[in-house]
Formats: sequence, structure tokens, C-alpha cells
Amino acid sequence: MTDDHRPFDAPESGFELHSALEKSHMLRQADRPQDARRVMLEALRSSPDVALLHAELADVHWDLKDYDEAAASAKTAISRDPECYWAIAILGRCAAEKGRHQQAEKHYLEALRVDPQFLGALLPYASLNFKVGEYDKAERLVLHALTIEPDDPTSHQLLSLIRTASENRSGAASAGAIGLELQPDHELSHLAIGLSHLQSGRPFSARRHLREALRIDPTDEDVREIYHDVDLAGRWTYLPMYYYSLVVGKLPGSAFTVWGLVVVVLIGGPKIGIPAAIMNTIAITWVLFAIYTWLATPLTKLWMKAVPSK
Amino acid sequence: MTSANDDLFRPTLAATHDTSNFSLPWNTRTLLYLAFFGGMFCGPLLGALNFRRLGQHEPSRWALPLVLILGVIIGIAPGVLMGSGLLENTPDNRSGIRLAHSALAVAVALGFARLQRSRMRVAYNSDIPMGKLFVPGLVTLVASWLATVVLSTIGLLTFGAPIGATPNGPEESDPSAVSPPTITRPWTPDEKYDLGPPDLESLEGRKDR
Repeated sequence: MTDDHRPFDAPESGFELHSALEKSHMLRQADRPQDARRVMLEALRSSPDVALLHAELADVHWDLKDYDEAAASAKTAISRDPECYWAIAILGRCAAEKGRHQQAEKHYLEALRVDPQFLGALLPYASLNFKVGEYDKAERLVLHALTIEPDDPTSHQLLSLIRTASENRSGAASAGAIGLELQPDHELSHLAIGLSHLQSGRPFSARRHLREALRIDPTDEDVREIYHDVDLAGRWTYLPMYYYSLVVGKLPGSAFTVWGLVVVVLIGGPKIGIPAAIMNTIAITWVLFAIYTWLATPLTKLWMKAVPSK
Repeated sequence: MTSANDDLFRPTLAATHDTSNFSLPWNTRTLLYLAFFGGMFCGPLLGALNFRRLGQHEPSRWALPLVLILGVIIGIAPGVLMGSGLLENTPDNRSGIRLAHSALAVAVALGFARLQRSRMRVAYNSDIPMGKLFVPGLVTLVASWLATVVLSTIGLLTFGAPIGATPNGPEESDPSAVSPPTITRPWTPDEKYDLGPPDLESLEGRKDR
């Protein structure tokens, strides 16, 4: 998410260093982090004291999901240049990845103290707040990022995801649409708008977007998992359960409120003179519906195994 | 950084937001269902243990004793009430007690779920691996039913009337409490509310038979 938000203009680093950084960046964009790592190690052999090179190496390690190495490289970068906000932000990402959110926040704020407009710290900080459920602060941070760079697709995609989580359906859909317009060939655009459609009762449209996201990046296991859930919601055997969950999810106490209401009706109905035939119909309908809600997920999953997703 | 955004750049996360101390937390929604079907020693018990799995050590200190105490009280209560005659041992009362037990268990599990909500949200959003509930759920479900039966029996035997004694009956050691013997009328159940004099003809008819 933060790949495009790096302080790339490094006049002090000289032409060779700049070209090494550019090369590494391009290799990472091409999904070749191992080659990028080799380029960075070569560049570091000739210039071991340049903080930006260590920071880029940290980012490469991050891409390789080697978070300990990423943190070590980021620390080396900071030891060379304590104001290297890029490396400080990477340290924050590593802490967040390990679940040390309080520590991560400290790093992000430190990076933002050095450069308050650095999206490479601002957006991960928003993402961190989103992760811990501080949706209001996360949204404000993204809106602040959008005042700095209004056409940044990542900000719009993240805004859409945050608004989906905070159940701001129209806001999520509009932010998702802008993200999709700015970056139509990115899986996150389709993921964001797909999830907003799923929440607003449009499972088929959501499935189309998730399918597109998976087409763009078939290796992304998270997207595949979400597509699986969206596909489940789009099967006709699960549709009643899907709409029931949408409605019940908004009630305090969710399904238990409905259960309680049914119990009250079944106990109180005969006492206020509702005929037994009607009460029996209500009771039997409820029992059948309850059985359906218990069986809907496993049966639909069985069906999905028999008829796999396209 | 404008002054309007100053609070945006103020630290707001505490140690309670960290997930590094998570250890396979259980889904609180499933615990609600377990509370409904298994009672106090099922969903709420696992909910109390879930605090520790979510790294919430402070609530885990009081939640487990609370569940155990409530479980024992609600387990013994039916035996005490029925044994002492405060509540008749009828199918309606028994199902009412079962429903009350489930309702209380769900209420406690709901309370725990509310306390764990922010941590669960972090767990879901962080893709933290979740604990499987099938085996612990099944074990506590069976154990909870057994505990309910055992506690109810203990309540009946310990706090209720001794075996063989009539509920509400006088105690033998207190002669002043002896009430006049209840005269029961030997005729048909339909006539049991008839407080008039005995129908001699029907009595004679019975003798004839």
C-alpha cells in the first residue's frame, strides 16, 4: 500500500544511488523482490552509510514478508540518519505487523513529526486505526491524506474500506467508485467497492468485483478468501440467510433479539387470545426457519464444493 | 499540520490495543449459542476463559469466579425451590427454570461479548488466527448438562425436604408445628373442589362395588 509513497527525491544520494533506488523500485513493482534485494545489497556494498539505501532494503524485506530483517534494516537506516522518516515508518509497519500497535503508533507519529505530509506514514497510521476499530480517526486521517494528494487511489480505496466497516454505505460506495476510476486495474479498487456492495445488499455485484480482483491478482489469498465468502452470499440457497443477517446484524443483541421476540409472542399470544392455529403456524414456521439458518452455511458450502466458483 | 488536525497526531492507542498477546481467541458469537444451549458452565465459562486468550488479564480475574458462583447458584436453585416446596415440581416450572437458566447464561455471555468486542474487532481486522471451538464447546456442553443435574440434585437433597417427607410438611422435631391431618375425600377427581358434605349415596355405591 505504501510502495508509491516513498521519499524518492534524494538529491544528496547522487546519481548512482538514485538509479539503484529506481531500479529496486521497478523490480518490486514487477513483483521481483529477490532481484531488488540483490540490487540493494550491491548498492550498499559501495555506499554502506546511506540511510535511504537501508530504508529501501527494509522495504524490500517487507515485500518478502521478512519483518525481522525489515526492522533491522530500518534501524540501521535510522542509525545513519535519525530523521529518516521513511525508515521510521517502516519500523512502524513492522511493529504493527507483529501486533505491537502502540509501538507502531509511536513510530508513525515520529515519522509524521519529521514530515507531516508523508503519505507513507499517514496512510499506514490510518490503516492501523482502522485495524483497531478507531474508524472515526482512521477516516479523518485518510481525509487529511486526501487534502495532501486528492488523486491518490490508495487513499480512496482505504476510505471506502473504512466507511464499509463503519456502515456508511453511500460514502463507501462513492469512495470505492473514485478509487476504481483512478486505478481500475488494481485488485484493492475492486475489493473495496465489492465489499461496499456486499454490505449494501448487492451480493451479485459484489461477486463480480471480487472475481475481477481475483483475476487481477490470482495469488492473493486474502482476496480469494473474501471472494469465497461473497460467492457464498450470492448462492440462492444462502440468499435468505444473507438478507436475514443484514437485517439482524443491525439489531442490538442480533439474533437473540429475534429469538426473544418469538418466545414472547409464543408465550404471550395465547394469553391475549390469538387462536391456537395461528400460534402453531408461527411456532412451526419459526422452527423451520431456525433449522434453515443452522443448515444454510454448511449446505451452501457443500453445494459450492459440488459446483465450484467460476 | 493545522491546529484543527492537532488531535489527529496525538497518540490514542494503549497497550490494550496490542494483539501481540492474543492466543487463539474464540468467536464470541458462537459462545452466545453455546450459552443458550449449554447454560452457565458452557458459553459464559468459555467466554470468561476467552478474556485471557484476548490478552485481557484484568477481567479474566473476576470473570471466571463470577461464572462459577452464578453457575453453582443457578444450578442449585431449582433443587432448593422444588425441594422446599416454594415451587411445584411440574413440567411447566421445570421448563421455565431451564429457560431462565438459558436467558441468564446468554445475558452473561452477552456482557462478556460486549467487554471483548473491541478486542475481537482487532482480532478480525488483523487476521489473527482464531481458536477452534468444536471440542471445548462439546466438552463443556456435556459437562454443563451433567453439572446442572448434579447441582440440582444436591440442592434437592441438601436444602430441600428430606427424602420421603412431604413438601411443606411439618418437621417431626417440632410438635407445635403439627397441623391437623388433611382430610382427603376418596371420591372422583372431578369432585375434589366440592366442599359440600360427602355424598353418602355414592359412598355406599362404592362399598357395593
